[in-house]
Amino acid sequence: MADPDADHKLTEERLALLSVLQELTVAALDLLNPYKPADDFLDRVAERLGCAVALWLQPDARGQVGLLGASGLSSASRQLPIPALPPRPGPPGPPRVDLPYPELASPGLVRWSVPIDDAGAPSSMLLLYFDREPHLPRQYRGMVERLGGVLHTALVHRQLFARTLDSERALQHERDFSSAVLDTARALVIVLDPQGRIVRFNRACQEVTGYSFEELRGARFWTRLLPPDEAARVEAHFAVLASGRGFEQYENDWVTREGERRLIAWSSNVLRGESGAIEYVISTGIDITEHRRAEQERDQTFQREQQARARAEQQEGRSALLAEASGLLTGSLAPEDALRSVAELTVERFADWCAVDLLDGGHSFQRIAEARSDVLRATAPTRMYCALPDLEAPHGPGRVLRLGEPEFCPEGCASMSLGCVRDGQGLSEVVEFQSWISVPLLAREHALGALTLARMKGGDRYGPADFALAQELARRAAMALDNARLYQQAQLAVGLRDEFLSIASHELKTPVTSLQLSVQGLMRLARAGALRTAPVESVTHSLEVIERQAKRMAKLVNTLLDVSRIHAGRLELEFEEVDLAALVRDVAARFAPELATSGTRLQLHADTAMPGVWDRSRLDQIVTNLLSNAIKYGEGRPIEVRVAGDAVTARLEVRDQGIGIPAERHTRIFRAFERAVSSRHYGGLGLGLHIVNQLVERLGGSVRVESEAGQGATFTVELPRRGPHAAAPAEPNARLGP
Amino acid sequence: MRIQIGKSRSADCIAAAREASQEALRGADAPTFALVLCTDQYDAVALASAVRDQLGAIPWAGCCAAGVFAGTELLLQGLVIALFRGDDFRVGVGMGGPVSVSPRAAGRAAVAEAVGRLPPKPPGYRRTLFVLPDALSGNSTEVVRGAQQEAGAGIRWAGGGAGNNLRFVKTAQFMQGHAYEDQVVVIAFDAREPFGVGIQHGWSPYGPPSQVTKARGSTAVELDYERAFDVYRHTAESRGDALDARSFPRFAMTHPLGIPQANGEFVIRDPLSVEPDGSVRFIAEVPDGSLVRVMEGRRRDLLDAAGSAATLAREATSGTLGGAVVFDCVSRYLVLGEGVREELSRFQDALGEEVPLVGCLTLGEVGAMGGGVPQFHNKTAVVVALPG
Repeated sequence: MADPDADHKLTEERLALLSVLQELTVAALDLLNPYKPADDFLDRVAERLGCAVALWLQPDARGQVGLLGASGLSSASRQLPIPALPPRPGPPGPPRVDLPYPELASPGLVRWSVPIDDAGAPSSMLLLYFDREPHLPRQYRGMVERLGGVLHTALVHRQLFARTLDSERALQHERDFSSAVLDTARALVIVLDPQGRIVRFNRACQEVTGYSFEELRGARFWTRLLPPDEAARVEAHFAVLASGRGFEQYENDWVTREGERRLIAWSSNVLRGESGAIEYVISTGIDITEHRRAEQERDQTFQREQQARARAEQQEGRSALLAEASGLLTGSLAPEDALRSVAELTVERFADWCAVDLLDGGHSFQRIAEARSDVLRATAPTRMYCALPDLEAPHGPGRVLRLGEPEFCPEGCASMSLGCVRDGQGLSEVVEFQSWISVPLLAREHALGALTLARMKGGDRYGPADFALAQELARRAAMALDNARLYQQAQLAVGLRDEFLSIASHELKTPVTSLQLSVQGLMRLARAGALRTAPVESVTHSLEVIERQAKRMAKLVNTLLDVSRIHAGRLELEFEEVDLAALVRDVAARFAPELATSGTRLQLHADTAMPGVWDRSRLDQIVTNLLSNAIKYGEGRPIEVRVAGDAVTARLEVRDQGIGIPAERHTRIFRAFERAVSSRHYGGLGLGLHIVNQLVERLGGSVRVESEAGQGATFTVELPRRGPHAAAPAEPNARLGP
Repeated sequence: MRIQIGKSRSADCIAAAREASQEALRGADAPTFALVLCTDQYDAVALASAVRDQLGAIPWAGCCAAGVFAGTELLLQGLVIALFRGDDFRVGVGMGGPVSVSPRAAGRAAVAEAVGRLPPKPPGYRRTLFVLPDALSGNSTEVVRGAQQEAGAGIRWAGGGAGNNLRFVKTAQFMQGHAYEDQVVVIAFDAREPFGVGIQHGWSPYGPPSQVTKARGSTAVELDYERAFDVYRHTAESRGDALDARSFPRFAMTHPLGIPQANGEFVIRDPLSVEPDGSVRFIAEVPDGSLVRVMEGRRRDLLDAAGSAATLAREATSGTLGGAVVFDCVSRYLVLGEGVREELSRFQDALGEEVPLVGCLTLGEVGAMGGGVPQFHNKTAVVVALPG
């Protein structure tokens, strides 16, 4: 008969066994997770089985035993190293090592050793230590071994899982490392698939563009990062690159989030898969925006420095040219020769062609210098000819001579204006110049001529500084020319003065001699006491001679005083109403003896009164001088004097038929000390017409001469009838020189 | 080794500290250490200060509990101080925490500190660790596992969860003259003769085995794929006991859960409450996958277990005893009522009439039932016999 207590006990034992196995099996599931320590499981084993110590030893492939988990070991014990597994012949089996743990040194410890089978490798081992022989039902040995099977499965999974995790960690580490390398790199790295979609976009790319990788992931790069005007070209370029051909080095612009363009220098490569197909295009770029900008700035700076240096050198050249030219101009009193030297100097330093044209007073001019550089001469080995300027030309030196204004053609103007041609292949062709300058030679606001410079094609074109130099050169040349001319005029004036002094001395000496003779005759009579006895006619004659010569001297002196007053501006006029016709008639009457003496017939047309507001004595002087001249140079032929006019102007005409005045002397006869004929043949100071001219101007009128050599002369005086202030001042008919 | 006990029922911290200290110190020469146990009515900080004033330089540690006893005298309000004296042992005290954050680490830290404070262990000395965790704050099972991991094997374990009179608000741990919360205090003894530890509970299976099919820490969510409370109720009904959520605390008090051990013993788990989802919360961890039993405890069995625990302890140390320390679960007092005095008598009787006995009513107990590694128990009596 069954024992109910025994049955109950057996049932409870089975239940406990089942419970422990069940609990530990569930707990073993946690071992599948390699992150969970095996200690927890072994704690459970020790708690349920009543172990003092539970160990799980795991040898590795090199035979080194490790502690996979433990319960009942102090933290100090866990630090103790386990001795290496001694080599053991035969198949792999449980490790047999001497464990160093003091917990295992207690006397009476009972050990259960459970191998955890692991085919092909040294077996791991579950070791359970009890304080004494455990009072456990015998089935627990089997249960523990069964548990070993569970642990084996768990261990395999744990190791597999651990290897998987290790692989993933290694892979992730590799990825992280790659990312870190990419992100650490200062270079831009972008990885694209063959369709141009962004696969990777490193930190440098993000910093340059302002876009995050997530914003651009999967986008075709040319749609987001390229300026629209470059997108199509870059897309086509990428297609070639992604097909395994094309350029590996190139530059293009990226546009940042802020819209700024950045110039990137790229180096690209393709990454092929195992099949050889291109899987990725990897581009490494450097942002060279600043570098390129710096390069450009450096180039510009260099160019500026070069230009500045060239300008300085040019300026230095110009200064040297000016200095040398000035030396040439000031060192010579022959300005034409100096200008020729200047022209030669100019083509040597500053031009390929240089011409100097000088006006000669009227509307004519003369080319006094033309110089050509060796280069220019080399272009025209046969013959080259430069025409004289056309004063009617719209451009060129002719225009400059005409207007007295400079003309500057920096580049591209017609060279025809300069008039140079050379023999070409059968035809003459215009010599083409790159640029030219033509400047007037201005002195005291008068154009004396023109200086023209030109440079050939292929050389430097003229700039504003060159234009200024040409003007300065022209100014100095004009000044030298003017000075030379003034000097010549001064020399001439000195000569005229000397001649005048000689004439004046002679004119004064003649009456003085006559006076002296008459006085000496009377003195002799007086000393001899014969004065009272001398015939009255003889004494009277001597006295008449003395009076006539005294008057003649007085007249000469008055003439000189008039000229002096006029030049000193001290000539005072007394205006009153005067009848020109009556005055002419009076003067004519006064000249009756002289007319008679010279046998000259005077035809007087002054019947109609011609009153006006004038200075009577000066008007008298004008008429006297003109009539005196006509008698003097009229060679005894008839003289015609006519008074005419209208309500405004009175006109006096004095015509003789004498020796006449050559045309080229017309302007000179009104100057002081000038005369149209030699003083040896005609006496007088030569101041008569000069005084006439000055007085007519003061009266507000004008005087002109019409004459030809040998054909007589007609002097016409026109005077405003209401005085000099009633009409605009009349233009003098000729200038008295500069 | 000999302990000398002082006690006080005074509600005043200073008076209690003075009375208990003076009694314990009376005639004591060169005390090495003091174990201080108090009930939960005191202001822990003030009491620690008062005891510190009384004990001066004597190292001391302890905890708060639902009740304390000296000999067979139970004090539901009071303070007991056991002075350890003798030259045959060394003491080190350590603390770790907070146990609510990392209970295992707290256990390890407390043991490491306590052992670290011990002088080098003389040859032949045996080590015993008292573990006093704050049982209201964290997972005491994990605290004990941490302590075990740090200390290793070959050690006698004892202790109990600091608690109060089941008001479960807060508790206190004492170390080096100060009061703490949310900590575990470990007292390490190295003694020339081994401490004897006996651990028994007297509970036996009441219902059929049920598998824990879903557990979450100290909460059994499902038993046999049903809500844990439903299984509890079916089990009660099969034995003719009606059970609902309201009557559960009273029923649970006398019907804890038992986790089978390989040696036929059961580790007891004390149910605390039924949660709204029908799960049942326990004082300590319920292992997933285990076949648990609803237990019952007859008065006689509980009292016999107390005697057995004391006997085991007595037999585990040689020679005369210098004293005994008992960690007795407070819920045993709640089950036994006034009969707890008889339980104390059983302890005293088994240990010997002359053996000074000190102890407290704990919230969970620490010990290695049947040897091996220590565990956290409920509704269990742990008796430590101190070699004389």
